[in-house]
Amino acid sequence: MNVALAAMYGSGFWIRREKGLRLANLIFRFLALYATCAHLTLLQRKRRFAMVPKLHMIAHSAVDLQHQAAKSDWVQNPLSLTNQMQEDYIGRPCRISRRVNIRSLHRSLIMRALIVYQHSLRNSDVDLRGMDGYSDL
Amino acid sequence: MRAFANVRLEDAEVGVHRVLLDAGMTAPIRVETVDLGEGKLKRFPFIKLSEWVQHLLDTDRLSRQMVGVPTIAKMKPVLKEFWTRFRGVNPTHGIFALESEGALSLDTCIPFYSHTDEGRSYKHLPLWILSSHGAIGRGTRSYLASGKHKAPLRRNPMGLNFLGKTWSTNFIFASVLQTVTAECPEAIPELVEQYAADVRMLLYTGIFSRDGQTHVTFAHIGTKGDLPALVRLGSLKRSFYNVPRGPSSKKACQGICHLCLAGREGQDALPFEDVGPGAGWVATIAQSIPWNNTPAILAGLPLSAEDQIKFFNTDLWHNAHLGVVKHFTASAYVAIVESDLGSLPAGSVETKFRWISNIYKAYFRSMRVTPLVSEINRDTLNFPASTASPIGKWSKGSASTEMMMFLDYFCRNYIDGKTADPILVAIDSWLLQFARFGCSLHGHIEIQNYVLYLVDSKPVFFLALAFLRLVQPEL
Repeated sequence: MNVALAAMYGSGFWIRREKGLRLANLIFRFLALYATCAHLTLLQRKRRFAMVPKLHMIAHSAVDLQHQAAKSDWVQNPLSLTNQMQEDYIGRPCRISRRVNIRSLHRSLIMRALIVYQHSLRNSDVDLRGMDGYSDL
Repeated sequence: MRAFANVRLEDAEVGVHRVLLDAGMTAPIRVETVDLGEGKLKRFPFIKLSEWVQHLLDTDRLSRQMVGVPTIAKMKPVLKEFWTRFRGVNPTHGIFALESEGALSLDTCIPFYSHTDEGRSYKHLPLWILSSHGAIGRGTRSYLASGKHKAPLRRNPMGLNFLGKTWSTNFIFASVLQTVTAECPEAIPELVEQYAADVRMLLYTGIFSRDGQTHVTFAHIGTKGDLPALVRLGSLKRSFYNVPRGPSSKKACQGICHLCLAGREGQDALPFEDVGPGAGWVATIAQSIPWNNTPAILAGLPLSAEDQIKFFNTDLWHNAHLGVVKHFTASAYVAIVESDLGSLPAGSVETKFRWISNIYKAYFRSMRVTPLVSEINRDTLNFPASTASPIGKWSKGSASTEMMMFLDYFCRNYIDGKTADPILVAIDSWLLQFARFGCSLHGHIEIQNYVLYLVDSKPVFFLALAFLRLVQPEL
């Protein structure tokens, strides 16, 4: 699973069909082995390797890759739908919210957020990483 | 200084902000208000996405922060290619009908996602936050290091929106503390309606630069969030909350997934536990709407019923690291303790856990890393008795990774070829399979990328090690 994720991190928003299909297979194998473990422990009448809905949601990511690959040369990287960066982002307003008067929390949060935004946007202006992409444009 | 001295102490927050605004220290964005009730709720603050993007356009930052390219001129061919590929996978999406009617031009239509989540705020009250961000961006570190971003447009995978401060690429709409939703249950639906109305304007009307030369529109292509956040935003009636708790129940479960009918019980049962590519539920994807009333976030978007269902996206990373891996590692450690492995010390389950824990601590000490979970025992695995179903107690994705990493180490040293226990063999082959697959997928030269990936995603030491083990077996 981690290998699959690593492959996705090295990619962009789009990945080639062939790679997408390989990723889908990898995810299915991950799920199949989990199910094998669950089956083996069930035979021993033990409650292990719970079959949780998140397994099903992971299967959706793999099915989606297969469906897209059947239609197109480029498929959407499942990581484009991740919340990882956003969770990092959410932590900040939450930290701010712990430092202001609770009665005026919403207003103070937004006003303080604007200060951080101004600072971040200015930093971003001088951050050139990735700005040299698309060599033919 | 004089300006600061003149700030009234009774309401210093507002006064200080005015001074900072004059000094250019805070973003000059108009904060709007909506009436959600009495008192403080009378003028509840939020920031329209249109305000954000207008500010970005006025300050010549729009293409950088929302698309990851330096200029509007460069943005146009990138967006055109983006939509060509998007059409490949979503040929019937409503946006293409709008284009053929001449209502918008795809080379100036910026795709974006919304995101909702609940974080922890003051006194641990949940704080709900809605924000937006561009679908494509500068890429990840490993993507840039591989130089893929320099590929010509036709072969360019287009960067993910990862690099750069998240506060320069994710734009807040509003936050709502739980005390507000308790007082005014309609607060979140009302705010989402405001958001949807603004998003509709951004799609159909768009925004203009000050000189009127540049016109840009925006397409909301999906919403993201963990499963509880999606259920809340869409009032989804089919969700993981419906998972049956017992072998039989009075009322048959209608489904556990908003995307398909998996989990449906009764005559045409579709078990969600079937996770193979040919599962019965695959044919039911996006066939049946999972809500009673169309969610407010969809208002004004040109989407078919099928695309409306698929609009609510699930996060693979979250489902794996904060879900399945927690179950897998916890069950695996319990399986080890309950096995007849020769190297296990004799005695109680506690003794055996202590033995594993000591190896665990020594392992991380040798790596000079302090693990997030201090030891492996009944408590950290939520395993008070042998009848319990184990699940990791940690709540960080990187803790899951550390657990996987140690599990791999343990398998190599204590399980490989040392037992015939079918469960342990399955656990071990699971780890080995994926390391091997990694080699075929990447080729050996990409080891360096793994190191960069560590920086990108925190959760992956395990993988780098598993990988090295195959590439350089002597390690």
